[in-house]
Amino acid sequence: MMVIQLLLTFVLIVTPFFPVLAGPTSTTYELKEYGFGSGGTEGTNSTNYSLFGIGGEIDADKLNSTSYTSENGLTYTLQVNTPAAPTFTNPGTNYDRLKYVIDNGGNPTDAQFLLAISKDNFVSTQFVQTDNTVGTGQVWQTYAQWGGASGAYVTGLLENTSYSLKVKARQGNYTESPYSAVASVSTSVPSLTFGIDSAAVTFTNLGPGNSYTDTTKSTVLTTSTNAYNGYIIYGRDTAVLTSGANTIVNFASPNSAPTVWSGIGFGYTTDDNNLSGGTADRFTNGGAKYAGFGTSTPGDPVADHTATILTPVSNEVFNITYRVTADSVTTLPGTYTTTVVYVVVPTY
Amino acid sequence: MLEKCGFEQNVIRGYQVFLRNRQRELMYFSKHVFGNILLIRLLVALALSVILFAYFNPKSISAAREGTLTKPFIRVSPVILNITLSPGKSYEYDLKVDNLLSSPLPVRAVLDNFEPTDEDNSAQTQISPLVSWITYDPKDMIIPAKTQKIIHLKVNIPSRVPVGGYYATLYLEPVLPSQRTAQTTSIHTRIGVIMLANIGVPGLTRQAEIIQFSFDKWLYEKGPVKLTFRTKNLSLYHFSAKPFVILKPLFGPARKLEIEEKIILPGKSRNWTKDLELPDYWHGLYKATLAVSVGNGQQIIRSTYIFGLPFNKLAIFIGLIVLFLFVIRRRKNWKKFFRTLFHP
Repeated sequence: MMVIQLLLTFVLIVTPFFPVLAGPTSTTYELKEYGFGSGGTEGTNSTNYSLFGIGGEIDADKLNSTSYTSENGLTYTLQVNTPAAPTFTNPGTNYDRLKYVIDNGGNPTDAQFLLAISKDNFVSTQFVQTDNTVGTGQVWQTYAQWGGASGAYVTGLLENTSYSLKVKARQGNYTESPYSAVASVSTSVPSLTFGIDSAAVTFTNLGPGNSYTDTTKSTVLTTSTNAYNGYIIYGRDTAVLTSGANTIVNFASPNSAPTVWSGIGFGYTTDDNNLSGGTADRFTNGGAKYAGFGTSTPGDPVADHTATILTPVSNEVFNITYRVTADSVTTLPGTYTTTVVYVVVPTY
Repeated sequence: MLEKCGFEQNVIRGYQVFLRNRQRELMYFSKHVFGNILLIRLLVALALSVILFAYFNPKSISAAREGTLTKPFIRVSPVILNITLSPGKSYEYDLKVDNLLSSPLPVRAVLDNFEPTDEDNSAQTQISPLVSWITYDPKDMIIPAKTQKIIHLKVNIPSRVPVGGYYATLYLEPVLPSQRTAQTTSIHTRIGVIMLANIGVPGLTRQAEIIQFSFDKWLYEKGPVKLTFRTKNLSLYHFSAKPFVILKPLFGPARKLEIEEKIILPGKSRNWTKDLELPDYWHGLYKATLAVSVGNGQQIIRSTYIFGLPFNKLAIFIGLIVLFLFVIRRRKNWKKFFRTLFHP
């Protein structure tokens, strides 16, 4: 009996302090009153105006006009400005990269942008990465990080392919804009154009009058390309200068270490002062240095363009000047011939 | 060309004779004839002299010769075929060859092994079965003047073949007329079309390693800074490596320098050597980070430190401090000196 009285007393004292719960609650809050709306009404039109209802439910249809979109059930007061379509071009007729400049849409400097790229008009979508390659992960960066007003090149693309690019922006959570309009452009095809000025070289007859030497003959190599890493021209001969059983040897100095001419032989020098395969100006520094051709394929570098090509190289000219010196005693009279081969390949 | 020069000299001589005749006529007219006829002949002679001088100006002849001397005669596209293939499938590609001459050009197409350039750009022959999987047509062709021919390439990949990188080169050899009759040294040319094929789909993870990242010194007074690094491809596939260097001082913003991309073949390494310019305010400790992008947004990273110390500015600064200390320490003597000077 005593226990029952104590329990009743406790209930009467404590119960008034317990809250009465009418609606859904969280740890801190309670929703006192709530109800479900029936959603907005779509499309009240006159000749000049169109009044769109607000979609009250999250799964209501999105309402669109030409210029505006009413998103579903949410208010977008914090949404950043939607950027305009990016500038997407191929200024250097490149085959593996395209240039983009995004529009910041008047957003603050800390706004971030996502660049979506596709080669099938967004049936499948990839994204530009921090290193400007294309990948599957979404990468958000600021306008400055995407190259600002100068833009940047998206690389690793397929040749002769049309790519589309679109951009969206955000500035913190729940502020993401829709995608911009799409810009499209195609990559080019890598090409190489090559020419020499003459298909044969006839040396002056060697004799006492010219000290058994001719240094006046040359070949002009002309190249055009849009290959990103440029090109290399290798030179070799198929054999030493030969007349029946008699020969004039190739000049002894190798391509990697050409020297001032001395002695006899058949050699060459190049006016390329930035040549790969050794010290860049080894043929030109301190006057013309000579080397002898080798006979193994593909040969030695005699001219090249090693700098990155973002604007196509057009008719780049290099001169290969030959020198032949015979020995007045040991070189026997005759017509000496050989074949010089120039192989041009793009640098990859 | 020499004959043309002779012809031009004859014309110039003729023109000089013409001018002498005009001078004689002018003298005759000045003596015997007056009025408009003299004026008209004078104007005609002047106009002719201007036109002929402009036409036979030696500089114009020189420029025309240079323009015709270096004319290329063949164009090939595409010159790099970077392709991904699958076992058991066939692929077809078209190669366009343009004859830029105003006469027909015989061209021979020869398929050969790939000769990849090593780190120093020296070429090494690499035997690849890709050569035996390719058929092409035509092999020999005569391309009419100023026209284009298509070479059809067909690649048949066997159904059972190890995945990885396979490479080949198709050489195009123009045969110029004088090559066929050359009695002296003949000059031949070849254009190589590089075929870089990955068979199988490369995984998302690329295996590569920076095997060297160094500067020629650790202490610099000013630029340029000579940077050398090498990257090795440890995977079965080739990929394009895209490096950039970030120079970060202890305080202040970092500086990002982009470096050219290179394709690295499986098992091969490529070498980069760059001269980096430095900012004017270059001093203090810098952390240099090399990041090599290997595709799919992946990067391999390595860092080192370099120190910038402007010796000249430092020497002037120390000199000023020494001078200041000297003045401070000798201030009593200076006071005496000025007192003597102004209050003798």
